[in-house]
Amino acid sequence: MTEQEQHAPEEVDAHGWRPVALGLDLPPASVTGARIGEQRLAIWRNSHGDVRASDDRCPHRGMRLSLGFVRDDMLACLYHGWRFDAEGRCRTIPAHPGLKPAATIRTTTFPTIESDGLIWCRVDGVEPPESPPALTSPAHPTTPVRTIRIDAPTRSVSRALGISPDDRTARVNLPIHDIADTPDDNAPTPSDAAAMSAVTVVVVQHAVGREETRLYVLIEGDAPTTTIQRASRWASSLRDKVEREHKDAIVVEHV
Amino acid sequence: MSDLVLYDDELDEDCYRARLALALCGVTARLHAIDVTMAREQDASSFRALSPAGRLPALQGVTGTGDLPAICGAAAVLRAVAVLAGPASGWAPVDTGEAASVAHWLSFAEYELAAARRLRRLALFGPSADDCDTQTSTPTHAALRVMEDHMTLRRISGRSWFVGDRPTIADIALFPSFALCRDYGLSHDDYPALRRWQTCVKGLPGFIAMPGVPEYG
Repeated sequence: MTEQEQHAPEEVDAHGWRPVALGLDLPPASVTGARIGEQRLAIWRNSHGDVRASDDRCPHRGMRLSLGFVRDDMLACLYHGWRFDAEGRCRTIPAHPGLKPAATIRTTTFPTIESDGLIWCRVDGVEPPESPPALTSPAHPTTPVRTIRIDAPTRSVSRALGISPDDRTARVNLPIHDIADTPDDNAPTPSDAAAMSAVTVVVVQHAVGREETRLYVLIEGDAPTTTIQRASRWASSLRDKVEREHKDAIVVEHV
Repeated sequence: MSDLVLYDDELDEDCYRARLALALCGVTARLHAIDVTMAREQDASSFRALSPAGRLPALQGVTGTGDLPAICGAAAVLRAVAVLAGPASGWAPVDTGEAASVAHWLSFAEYELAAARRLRRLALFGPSADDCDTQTSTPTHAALRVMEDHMTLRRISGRSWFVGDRPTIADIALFPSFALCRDYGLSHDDYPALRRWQTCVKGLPGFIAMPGVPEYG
């Protein structure tokens, strides 16, 4: 692999709509940090459920806004409580309660869309002409499972999922036992094929850095709690497997 | 009339566990600050008489029913506080299964999260004699992952706490290591299930913060 190829995923990943959080991981009136390419973001949700994205930097002292909090439907900085509205304009400076902040005090904001249980954002400056990629048909709403971080490059994750590195979404058929309370993944397979069925797990991957990938795991359609838990455990084993193989590959490269 | 004294270092993670337990369980204790910096009061003979290994936090005093012998270390103080709070407080384990699960997580907080405490101490106060110079965040990251995987499964089944249907001292024992992990550069962003749980802990009546743990968020 050439050095250029190793750099490629990061650059490619900064374009278009990128997934920044699972909708359920961002409850009303909360904020989380995200990264698209070199752009660090504060992704926040107001009390009405609307999602916003802002540059992750307070214009006052440079503090990361993703370490802050949401109050009165504004993003507030943890340091001195400066508050920014949906358009990124500073509305409140607690140290000067009588002052109306100048319109020039603001953070850069980015477009966001919530669909298929995911929050998408784009930082490439292109006016959003199209929607984010549809993960499933509208007739099959998704059931969110979890977010999981893998300490390995996206190409290693793609390899384990059996998809091309350019494909950011994988669909995996996960066999499940119909008997609700057999959580043991290694339980003997029932000989009766009718007792087995499968769910389609949708995995959306996002390169956070060269050695760090974030996966958003969802299930196509509705699923009972036991199946969602099964998919969550499957994601943990995938993470452990990918990290082990990646570590082994590094050892081989250095021998 | 009970009169308890907690021997305390405000910036120490284990002492925060003890203060948080006292506050959440509604047990009153006076704080006695031990200067672990220049004065090294944890090595003074007067303190070693209470805590022979010089370990903080330490709890001692008189309870409603008699003298409380000196209890040293966060896990022991947490168990003692839950008992002192009484069954009506909701902090004592309700059955054997729950007590066993709480014991499991208390042990996890003592052993697996020891790496987290070392890492934070190193980041804030610099190396001490028992630190090797090759500290990495890997064991801490691995321990927080175990917690994240557990709380993801709990969230999926509609539960908010590590054990059972209500907060226990397991939550108190585990909370500081996650809440303080930004002190040594780990981000909360990789642990959405723990962040959700953190919000629940911060919303408990009587919750108290410490430097490095914002009240909000």
